[in-house]
Amino acid sequence: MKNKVVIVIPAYNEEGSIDTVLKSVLPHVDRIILVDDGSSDQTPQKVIRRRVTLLQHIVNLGQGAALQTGFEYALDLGADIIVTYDADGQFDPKDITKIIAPILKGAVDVSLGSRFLGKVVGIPRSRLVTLKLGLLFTRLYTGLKLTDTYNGFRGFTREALAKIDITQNRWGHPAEILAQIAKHKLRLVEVPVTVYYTNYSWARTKRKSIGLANSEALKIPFQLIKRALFDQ
Amino acid sequence: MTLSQVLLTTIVLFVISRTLSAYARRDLTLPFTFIWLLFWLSIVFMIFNQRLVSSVAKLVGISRGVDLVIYVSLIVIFYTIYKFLLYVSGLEKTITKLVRQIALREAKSNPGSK
Repeated sequence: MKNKVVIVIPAYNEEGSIDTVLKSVLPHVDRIILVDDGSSDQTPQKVIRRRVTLLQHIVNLGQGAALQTGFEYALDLGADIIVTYDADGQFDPKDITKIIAPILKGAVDVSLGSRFLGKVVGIPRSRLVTLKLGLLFTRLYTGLKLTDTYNGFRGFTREALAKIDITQNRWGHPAEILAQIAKHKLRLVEVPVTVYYTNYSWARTKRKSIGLANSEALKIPFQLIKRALFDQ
Repeated sequence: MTLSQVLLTTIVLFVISRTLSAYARRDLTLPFTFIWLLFWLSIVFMIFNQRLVSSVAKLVGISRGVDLVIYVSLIVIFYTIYKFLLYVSGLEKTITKLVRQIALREAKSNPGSK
């Protein structure tokens, strides 16, 4: 029986790239679940393609929350393999095949994209430093020795995804996902992928200022501490 | 009456008047208003009974009454902040749950893809 491959794409104010991303991803999957996270631009209106399901958050909650909403819908849909993908055009859709290949073989439960095993184009130095710091933090927090910990390109089996429950709505979710993978002892592999820092994607980051984008990543340890102390 | 006692009491009376106005507008509940007024009246008591406060401080091994007030205040403030953060964390979870359920229900009620 053919495995049903569903891709979950969280999006927030991505009207400039979303149509291109959807068009490029469709040939590689059975269905796209686009989770619009309270966009104030025309992102939802750009979703006009078949085999694309649009879920809309009425207010912006964060990428982690959008992913969890997409996960719940994907599992309900009966997806066998679920891939997560960014909406800003940074990924190469041809890498979807690489992400799901080890899962199809039954060798792993989770495959994680790694730009440092693959290729990264146009990355600013400050971003590189932040990502490398993230590696150290993730190693301390989860015990996992990975080469890329802030990569939104991931693949899960249905059974693995059912064990993941994202509670960090904003930027604590990458570390949280990895922590849960480690906790449930899911079999994982890193897969080389390409990440492009395009003019569009970096312009979006610059509008929030480069420093802010990196500082969001640097807030992750504090968000996780806050969760440990204050979550009931 | 010293100048500091006059100034501090004036500030407290202002706070008490704002509290009573808020209660009259029904912005505050009766239990909260009662506890809040009791708190500020105890401040006035301490302003006019500094020797008593100093005695209590010495009893627990602290040299000055004002130090005792500061230590107790810090404990109360940090505990209040902690409870507040717990409350906000709970609110965030509730909002997330609501927004997610609305998104999922709307998608399920329109099952056809675009």
